[in-house]
Amino acid sequence: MNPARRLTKSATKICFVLFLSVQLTIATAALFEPRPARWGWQMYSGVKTRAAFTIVRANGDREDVVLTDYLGQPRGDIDLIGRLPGYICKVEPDAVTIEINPPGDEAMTEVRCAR
Amino acid sequence: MRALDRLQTIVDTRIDGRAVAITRVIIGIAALLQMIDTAAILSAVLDDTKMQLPYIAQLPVVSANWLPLYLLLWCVVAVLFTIGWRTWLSGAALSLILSYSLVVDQQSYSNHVYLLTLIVVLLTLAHGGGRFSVDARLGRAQETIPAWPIVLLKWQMSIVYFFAAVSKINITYISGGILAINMREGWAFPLPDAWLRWELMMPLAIVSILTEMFLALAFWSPRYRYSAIFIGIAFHVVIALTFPMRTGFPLAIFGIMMFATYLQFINIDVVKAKFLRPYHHPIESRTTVK
Repeated sequence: MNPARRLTKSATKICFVLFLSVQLTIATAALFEPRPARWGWQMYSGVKTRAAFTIVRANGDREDVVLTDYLGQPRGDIDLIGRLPGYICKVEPDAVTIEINPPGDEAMTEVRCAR
Repeated sequence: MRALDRLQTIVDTRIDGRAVAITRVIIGIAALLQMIDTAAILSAVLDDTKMQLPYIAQLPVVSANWLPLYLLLWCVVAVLFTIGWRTWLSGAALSLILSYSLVVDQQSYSNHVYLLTLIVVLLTLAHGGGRFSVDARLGRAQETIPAWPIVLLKWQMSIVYFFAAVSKINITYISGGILAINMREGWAFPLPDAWLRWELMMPLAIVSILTEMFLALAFWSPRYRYSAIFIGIAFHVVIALTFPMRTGFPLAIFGIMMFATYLQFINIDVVKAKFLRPYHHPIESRTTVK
């Protein structure tokens, strides 16, 4: 067998093992994440409870955030706590504070909009 | 046989390209249908009045103005892949287009697009355009193709079913709640409220887990293979009809993709011999007397 062909065969074997290894590793790791986790073939395996957000405006009004007002496709498996409050502060000029009510027993937190 | 010897055999083996070619056509059609579903999602996600959540900050984002062009490109490349024109190129291009829709934004992730991307990659690597294709008509026919991408495709099918089943082994799913939420709004056969009780939904949930586990394993056994095909088709049809339209359509596409992978477990010559025997008239010969 000529060297180029031998190299091709070796590369093919490596790709074969790599493909299977990656698929199995990622899907197995995803089993240890809350359901449903991405990249793990966990279709309809669970429901993630989302955090709830409330806008507190300068005039004192409080308004519950409707996610579809700010997101095109608010998938349940996206962590919005780190990103959404900052975005709301940017697009809502009269927002003073964003309250975050995480799911479960975690305490409510607030993000103050920097003005 | 040692594992390395087995791997060498898989890499050296070539197989009949007909089943892969038929799979290529079905997957190309699935890609066209998926474009319709993804178009709606990307239109919402790439709306510049809404928040975007890119996976990779440096990845250029298709704006809403350019989205129709991206979708047209998707459509054209999917058609070329389906008809098997320059399949290496159209398959690679389709893979890239599908991958982009997966990673352009966290909101556009889809298990179905992920699977479709992997299948297109494997079919491209398998020279899926060697039969029943424009490429074959134009002198680029390949009677046999490398077996190793198809072995991976078969493994991929099993991996999907296996992890779909295992991930459902949790209280939330087994209670039947998730099925009840979805099947209450089934577009073709919505379940009546009286049926949405744990006494019915829990056994149904358990059956669905067992079915997926069966499908993960049974295709590898000649004894259960054809039963698995029948059960798999029935399973996906039931899901597509009993879930809401917004999920029923992508689930139908998912069923089509899985059916396409089933074909890799079938020996076409055996099917032809078993199910398409020539019809023998009981009167074998007649003579006409003038």
